[in-house]
Amino acid sequence: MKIALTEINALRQASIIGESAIGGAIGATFYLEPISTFDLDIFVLFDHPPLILTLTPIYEFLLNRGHEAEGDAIVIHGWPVQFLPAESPLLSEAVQQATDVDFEGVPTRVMTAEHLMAIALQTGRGKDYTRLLTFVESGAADSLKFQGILARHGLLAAWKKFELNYLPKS
Amino acid sequence: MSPLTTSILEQKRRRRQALAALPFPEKIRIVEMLRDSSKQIAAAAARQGLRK
Repeated sequence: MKIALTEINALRQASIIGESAIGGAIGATFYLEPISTFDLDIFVLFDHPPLILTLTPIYEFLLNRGHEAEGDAIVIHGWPVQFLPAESPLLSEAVQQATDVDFEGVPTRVMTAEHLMAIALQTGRGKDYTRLLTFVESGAADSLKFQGILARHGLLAAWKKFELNYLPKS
Repeated sequence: MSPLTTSILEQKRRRRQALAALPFPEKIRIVEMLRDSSKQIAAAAARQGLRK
């Protein structure tokens, strides 16, 4: 993981990507108990986004450094790394407001618990709802901050529905 | 729910809390072990024709 994060920082230093942040199961693992996953999701912003968004420069840079492609991921020292453009307003905000983290001497950024929850709600697959429930039960998130994100990104109705369906009545 | 089951669920909850409180690099090492175990199980299942 340390080498994967170092390579992601190299992408930033080479100005191929702008800000980035860890999301998905690995992001959630920062706040919760370890979650089984096969890949590392990196959400990226571009300082100068091209007219047609492409991840080719990222892949070319990493392939030139000796890493291999596996499907639509790049395997860096055993970790399939999936790069995802932070295209929506919610994802973009999540990358911009990510938390700075030191991973064994390597600086990295992890999305906040509240953003990870909102993204899980918006994505809406079974495993996203499971993760969302785990976040709620853990008490890892700031409720006010979460409500603010829901309001800004039009997710209040989806949250109300989730509460009705999955959370115990208090 | 019986007192025994309640106690077991409480222990599970504490275990999850303890895991969540581990340093991030330590949790990533556990994820790597989980991932490797999952791959081994999938490979074994495939060898036995239980999974394509």
